[in-house]
Amino acid sequence: MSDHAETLCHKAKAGDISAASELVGLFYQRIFAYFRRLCGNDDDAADLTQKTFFKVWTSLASYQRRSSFSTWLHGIAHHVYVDWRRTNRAADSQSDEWWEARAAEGPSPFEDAAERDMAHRLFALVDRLEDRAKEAVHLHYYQGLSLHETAEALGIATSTVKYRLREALDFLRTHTTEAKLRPA
Amino acid sequence: MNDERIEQLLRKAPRSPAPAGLLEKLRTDIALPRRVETRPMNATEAVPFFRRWFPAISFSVIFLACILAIAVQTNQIAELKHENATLQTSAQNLEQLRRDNAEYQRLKAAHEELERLRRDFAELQQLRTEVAQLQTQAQEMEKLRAESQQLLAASRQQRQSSADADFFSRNDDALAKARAKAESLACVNNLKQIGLAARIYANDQGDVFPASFVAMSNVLSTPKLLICPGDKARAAAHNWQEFGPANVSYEFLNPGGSETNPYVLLTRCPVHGNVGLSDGSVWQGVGLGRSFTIAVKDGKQIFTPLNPPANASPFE
Repeated sequence: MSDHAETLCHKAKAGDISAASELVGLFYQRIFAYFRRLCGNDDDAADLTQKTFFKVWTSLASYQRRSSFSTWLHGIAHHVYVDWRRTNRAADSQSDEWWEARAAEGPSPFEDAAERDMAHRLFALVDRLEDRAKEAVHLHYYQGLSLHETAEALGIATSTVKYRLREALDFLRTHTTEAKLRPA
Repeated sequence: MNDERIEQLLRKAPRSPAPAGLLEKLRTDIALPRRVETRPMNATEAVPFFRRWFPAISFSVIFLACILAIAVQTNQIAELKHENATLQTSAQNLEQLRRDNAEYQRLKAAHEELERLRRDFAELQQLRTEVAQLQTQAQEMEKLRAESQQLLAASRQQRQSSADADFFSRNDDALAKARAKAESLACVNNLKQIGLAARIYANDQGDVFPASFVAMSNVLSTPKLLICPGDKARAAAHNWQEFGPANVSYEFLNPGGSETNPYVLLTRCPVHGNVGLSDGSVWQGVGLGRSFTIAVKDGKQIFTPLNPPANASPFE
C-alpha cells in the first residue's frame, strides 16, 4: 500500500486528479476515525478531515518523500487537530455507549464480553490521558503507525514517543487494576 | 493486566465509519497545484548541473578563499618578520658605527695631539742642535779669544802699538755678542722645555697647568733647566730634593691656570725678557729682534705680538 500511495502521490503532484481521488479513498476513513476519536463528534471530525486534505493538496508540492505519505498525512492531521483544539474548545469525552456503539456496528474485534468490557474501560481511560500521551496512543495504537512514524508525525524524537507511551501504559495499567479491585 | 495485554486491546480499538457523502465532498474539494511536467523518478539526473553541484561548489569556493586569505596573511606576517629582523640588524650596526665613530674621533684627537707633540719635540731637537752649535762656536770663540789674548800680549810685548790694541778690542765685542746670543738661545730652549713639560702635565690633569715648578718634577727632566744661562747670580740644583727658591731664574706666571688660552704668559725670563706662552711657544724678549706687548686681563698676563713675521717661528 505504501508504494502504491507513493505512486499516487507522485502522480497527484504532477496534477493527476484521479490519482488524488484515489489517495483520498485510501486514507480518508483513517483520518476521519482519528479525528472522530479525538474530537468526540462527527461534524468536527468531518470538518477537520476536509481541512487536512485541503492542506495536503496545497502542500503537496513541498512533499519531499523524506517519510511515507501516510506519516506525512498524519503529521498534517496532527497539526490540524492542534490548531483546532487551540482555537475552539476541548474535545468531547467519549462515553462508554459510544464505544459500545462502535463495536456493535461491525464484527467485534474482541473475543468475548469480558474482553470487550475491559477494552471499553481502556478506551475511556485513554480519553483521560494528558494530551501528549493521548496523541501518541492514538497515532501508535489506534492509527497503527510505527514508533518512528509516530515520532515524525508528532515532530518529536522516537525516544520521546517511547517515553510518552510508557507513561500512558503505566497510567492505564494502574487504573485498570484499581477498577478490578473496586467492588461492583 | 500487563502491558502486552493493554497494547493488544488498544490496537483493537474500533474505527468509526465516515459519514456518507464525505468521500464525495473530499474528492470535489481536491485542488491540486497547477499541472507540472512529470519528473523522472531519479530526480538527480534532471536537476541542472549547477544546482546539483552548487553546495559543493560554494563550499569549495569558500574553502579556497579561506586558504587564499590565510596564505596571504601568512606571507604578510613572514614579510613583516623579515623587515623587523632587518631593522633590528640595522639598529645594531648603527650602534656599532656610532661606537666606532666615537672611538675614531678619540683616536683622531689623540693622533693630532701626538703629531703636535712630535712637532714640538722636533723643534726642541732643532733648538738643542742650534744650542750645541752655538756652544761649539762659543768654545771656538773662547779658544780664539785665548789665542787673541796670547797674540795681543805677544804683540804688546813686541810692537806696543795702539793699532793692535784696537783690533783686539773689536774682537772682544764680537765675542760678547755671540755669548749673549748663545745664552739667550739656551734660555729659549729652557723655556721651551718648561712649556712642553707644563703642557704634558696639563694633558694628564684636565688641561690645568701645575701650581709651581716643583709640581712639574715628574715631567721636567732636571731642575737645571730652571736656571737661565745668563743668570750668574743663581746656581742650578743638582736634583729635585735639593731644589729651592734660589735655584730658579724664571717666573711662573700662570700657576694652576687653564691651557685653553694660548696667549696667556706661562713663564718669563727676567734676564733676557723671553716669554713662554700657554701653547708651548717661546718669544724672545725686547731688544733681541722681536717686540710684543703684555696686557693684564683678569689677573692674567696676555701676550700680543707686534708686527710678527709672517713665516717665522715664535722663538726666532
